[in-house]
Amino acid sequence: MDAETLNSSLEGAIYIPFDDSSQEEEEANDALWCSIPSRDLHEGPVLRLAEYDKAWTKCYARVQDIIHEFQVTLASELIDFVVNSHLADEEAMPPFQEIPAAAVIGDPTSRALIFDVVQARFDMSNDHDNAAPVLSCQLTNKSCTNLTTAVRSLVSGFIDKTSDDGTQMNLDPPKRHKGATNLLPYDLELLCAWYADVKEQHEQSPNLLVFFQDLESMDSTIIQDLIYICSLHISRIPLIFIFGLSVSADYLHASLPFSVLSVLDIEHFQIPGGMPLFESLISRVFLDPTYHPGLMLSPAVFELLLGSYTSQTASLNSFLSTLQLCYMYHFSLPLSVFADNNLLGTRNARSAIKLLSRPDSEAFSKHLCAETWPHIQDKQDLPPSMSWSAQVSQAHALVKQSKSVFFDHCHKFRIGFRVFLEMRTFLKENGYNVHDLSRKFPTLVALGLRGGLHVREVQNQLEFARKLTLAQSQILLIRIYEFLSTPDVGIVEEEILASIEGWMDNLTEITETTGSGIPSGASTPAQDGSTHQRGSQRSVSGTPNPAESASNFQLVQLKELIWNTFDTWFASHLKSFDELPLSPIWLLRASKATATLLNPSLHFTIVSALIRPQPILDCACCTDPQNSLADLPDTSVLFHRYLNSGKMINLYDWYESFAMGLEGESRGGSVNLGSRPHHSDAESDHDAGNDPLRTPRKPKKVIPRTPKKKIRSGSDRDRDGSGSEGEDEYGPEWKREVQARFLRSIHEMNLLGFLKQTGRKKDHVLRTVFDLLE
Amino acid sequence: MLIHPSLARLSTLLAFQPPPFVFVHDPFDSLALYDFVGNISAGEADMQLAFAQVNAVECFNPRVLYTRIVNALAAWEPIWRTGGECWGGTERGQWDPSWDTFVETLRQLRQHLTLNEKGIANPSEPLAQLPSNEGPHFVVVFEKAERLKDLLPSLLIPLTRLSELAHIPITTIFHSAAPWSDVRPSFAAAPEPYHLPIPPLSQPETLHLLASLFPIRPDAPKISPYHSSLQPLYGFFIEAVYSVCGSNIKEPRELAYIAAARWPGFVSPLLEDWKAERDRVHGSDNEHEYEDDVGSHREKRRLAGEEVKGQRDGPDVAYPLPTEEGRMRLLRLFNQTFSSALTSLYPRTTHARAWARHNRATYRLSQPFDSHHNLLDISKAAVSPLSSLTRLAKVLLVASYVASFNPAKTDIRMFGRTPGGMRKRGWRHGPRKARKGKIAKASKPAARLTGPASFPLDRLIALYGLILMELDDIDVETSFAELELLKVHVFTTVTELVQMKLIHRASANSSASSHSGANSAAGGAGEKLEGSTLYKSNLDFDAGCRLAKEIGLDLTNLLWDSNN
Repeated sequence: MDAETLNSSLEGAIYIPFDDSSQEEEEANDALWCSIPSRDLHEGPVLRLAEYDKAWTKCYARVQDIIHEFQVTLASELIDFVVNSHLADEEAMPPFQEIPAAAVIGDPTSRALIFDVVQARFDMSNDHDNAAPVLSCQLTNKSCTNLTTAVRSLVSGFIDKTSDDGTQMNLDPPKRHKGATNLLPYDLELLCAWYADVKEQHEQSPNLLVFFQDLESMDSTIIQDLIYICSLHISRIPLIFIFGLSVSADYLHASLPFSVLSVLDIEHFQIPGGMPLFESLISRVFLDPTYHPGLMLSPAVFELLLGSYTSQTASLNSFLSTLQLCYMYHFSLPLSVFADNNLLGTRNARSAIKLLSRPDSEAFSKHLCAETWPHIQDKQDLPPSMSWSAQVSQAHALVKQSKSVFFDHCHKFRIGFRVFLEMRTFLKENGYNVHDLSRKFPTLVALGLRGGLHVREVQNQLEFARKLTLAQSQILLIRIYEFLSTPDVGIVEEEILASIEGWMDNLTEITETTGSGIPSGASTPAQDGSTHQRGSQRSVSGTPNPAESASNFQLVQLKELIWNTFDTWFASHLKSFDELPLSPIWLLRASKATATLLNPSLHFTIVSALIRPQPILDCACCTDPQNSLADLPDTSVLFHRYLNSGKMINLYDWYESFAMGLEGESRGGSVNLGSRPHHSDAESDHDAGNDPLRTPRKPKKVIPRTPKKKIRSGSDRDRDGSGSEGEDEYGPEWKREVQARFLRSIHEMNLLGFLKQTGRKKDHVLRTVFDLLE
Repeated sequence: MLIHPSLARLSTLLAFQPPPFVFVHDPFDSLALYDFVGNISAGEADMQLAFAQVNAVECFNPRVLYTRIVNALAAWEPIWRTGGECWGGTERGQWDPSWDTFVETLRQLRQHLTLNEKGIANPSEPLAQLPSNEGPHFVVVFEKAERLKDLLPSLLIPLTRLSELAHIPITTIFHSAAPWSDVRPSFAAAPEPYHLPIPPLSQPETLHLLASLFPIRPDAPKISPYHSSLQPLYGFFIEAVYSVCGSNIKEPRELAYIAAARWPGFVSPLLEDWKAERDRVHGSDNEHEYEDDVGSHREKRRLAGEEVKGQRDGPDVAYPLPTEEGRMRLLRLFNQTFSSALTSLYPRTTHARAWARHNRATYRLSQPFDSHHNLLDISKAAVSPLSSLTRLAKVLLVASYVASFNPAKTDIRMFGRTPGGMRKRGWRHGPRKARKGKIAKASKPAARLTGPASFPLDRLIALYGLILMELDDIDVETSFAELELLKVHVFTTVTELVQMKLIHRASANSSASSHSGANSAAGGAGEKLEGSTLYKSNLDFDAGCRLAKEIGLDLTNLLWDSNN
């Protein structure tokens, strides 16, 4: 491609082939990013990407499973609703037939998924299903632009379904007589005729299910007419509606008039979302003793997730993307390469150590050694002059060791946290619903992850537990025992299980000896709540009387022993993760940038880009901080002038100062008297080619005799309507160019919302941005 | 079939001297439960009448209207196998969807019907030879006729003059809840109709109508709410319902709806008694026939069809209706629930089936009175549906409410602060009070009565920041506030709230124009590029208060004119 072709006026269109040879390598490097490149392994990025992929796929699959469970429950409820509608029942028989409708409330993504599940279920239903078949059709806001199209898509949605041979309820295509008048495709009478035929041919009366994907986005006047029209035929065609709503069913009441509402029989289905969903995701992905995600949440990540979920977007998608970004950030740290194993992609430990001892991984190995050093147990035994490779292999071995320590603790933490919650639920059930136990699940998780749960919450709970009656203590111990003896948990908790068994025996003994001596003692777990209440109140209010009986004293002693043991047990189980060796490898971390990535400040970004465009343009000539204002792109130059001006800006003055700036630049530049208006300077070509966002560079063309005065006088004359032709060779051309560039930049700023026109002064514009962060 | 007195008059009129155009004005929807056509065709006519009943909403298109009328007059049922062929078939060719063809088809139809009546199967006979007093008289009834004015405005006048234009004996009847003056086209283009106002039903009429609606199921087992032996009790029940709800509701349709929802619960104590009696007679091993569990009953009905019914009712068991005392007991038990049914069913906050499910009675009539507990235990803890929104959305909604109901110029007075951080004029002191001696402008109505005012996006964002400052979330004085306020999530949440219709977009936008068809979607001429987009709050005061409370503020403190 030569310049001649580009400049030729004969060429109508020019094809510039895409040249990606230079960018390929760059992109590859960009994709595998490392937050601390200086400490990274040579193959680090590739290895970490693989690790990330493994870890995230696992976590994502788990989240999907949980969501799926939620959705399947709701979908089956919906399916039941659809199948059972239009069957006569004894409940209530309104004097007129209503259209059964389900209002499904929840965020659009999960709604669409549930609708798909429901629809798929009915599309695939076979003959062995004894339930009546259901035909379905979907209405979106695109198919409901007016009443005609809405009715037409409703009618054709069902009729077209039976015309393909694949489905179960296919019908013969109608034999149309030429020249006869037929029912119109947007007449519901046609659907009635079709349905009568379906009924006759298949000897079944399938329900007709209509999905309104997103009711809020549809025009309510059309929807209300559509529903009313359908209600006129409900005795002939068993329609069922499913409405998708985002926030609440109040929308139906707000948008539909009474006459339409009264023909519907609406049932509400709430898609699980909000805090319950968040809690179950957190507790089942990261705090489930039966599942190990490979990484553990750090308090910072949990708070980030919680914050973005509660205050910004309470949707599953945003939860997933926040979590994914945290995973990505985690795997951008050099040491995270050990997240799964310590082999570094090699076959065995020896070759991994060899890889670490290589000179090009020295920085990484030093980093690793520095991290492991505080955790090496017997530092005295180390020979003072330990070889480098020995140090590396020691650190390498410690990674493996720390991993098992960390994972064991994770498991213990989850168990401890569950037992803690179990106790809490039990105490609340038994009337200890006091302020001390009022903290919600998210707060408890945050506290627990920081290791702060044992300080207050556990102590409070144990304090209450000591006050429980004999029977209550027994029930609580049974509950804890049942949980701890589940197969996934029991292996690590044999010690405490054995002690619980012992205590239970002791408690039973006490029960037997005292008989009815102890209030509400020796009762079965099926006691009713009021007894608990009374018993607990008594034990809270009255202190045990030491003179009562020996067994009572024994009981107090035993309870003291039990809960003291649990105190130590909790202390070891709910420890913080930070103290563990090499915890940063498995503790998911977040940086401040993660939150900013998800929720950037648009305005700030635009303004800072205009003030300092160099980092964004990222080209060789612009990164030089010594560059003057005149070297910046036009819009940026204009913006700098804008910042220095008053509330209103005179456009002409602005133009003048802009032209002056350009002139200064041209004076400072190299003198180039070439006749071509576009210079072919290699550097600027590179710029223009690389960055499409960038304003084209000003040509460094310099007019030999372009004193300030001349430009000015030229502009003045221009204002007066006369040209400055002939005075110098470059004058008018240069001026036109400056004007064009000025106009272009003005429009760019206008588009970005920095300018506001006033009706009063046509040649002035208002500033919209004032106090700026500099 | 029940005959409405006014419609009986109309049917007599149609039978002897049919007027060309009748307007039935039914403001109270009294005819909703009557069979309109059945009523007006009941008269003893000395001429043959053919009826067509069309709904103006459904016939939003002239072609639909024409085919419907012709098919109905000809009593023609289109069937699917012929592609939904209309009356006339191939002989009369395809209609042109024009008025003239419609009128022509009506004439042909009349000729056809007349010839059929005479037994002449010769359609080739010319039309002109048919005397005008022979053949059927057509009656076309338009339900919801007031909608004709906006759906088919061009057809309104021709339809009122149908008999003149078609030159055949035909009567057009408009049935509408709106008065003729609202439906009437301008410039007296339509002839004055025969006007038939329908008064609201009187109490005896209503009671008679409602009692006649008792849904007797011929296949119902003996112990079922819909067995015919319960009909006397149903009459008593209807009277009780009417005495509570009749003062609030005049529409018989709604009264019937409430009655239908309450009836199964109302009789269940009696049925429980009967069941106990049956069990006593038959021994305890008898299978329960009347299942409380609707699902299983339904299942049984569906699977076993007709076989389950009526086999266990031994003839030796007597099922007595309650005595006067028993009725009084029932009334005392249920009287309060009638009004609770009214408050939740009339605005349709719940629907009949769901309401009946939540309000079952689970005791026997013969039980002592004290054991009937929590009859009104239907009020579930009302959870605000908006509480599932994020905090950001809640703050934005409160800001939008404040922006809509406070005048823009009061913002600085409500929220302005001195450089020291103190509020300039504390809103805690409450809004301005009318000064003594100076009469406040009485002409200005309260903000809450005028409805929400529109506001630009900038103001919403600014108020959002100020409310955050009230909550001590950010300090607006620092320059980082701008960074916080103009984040992407703020804008996306505003858009989301607009989509959820919690904030209304007041200025014309492209999404609004796309609804009105292809022609305006292309242009989007209403879109103004310059200037900010305008919004309106779509919340009511209660929802606003609830949201403000959820984020920890008192809405009345943020409103300028909170007293009104």
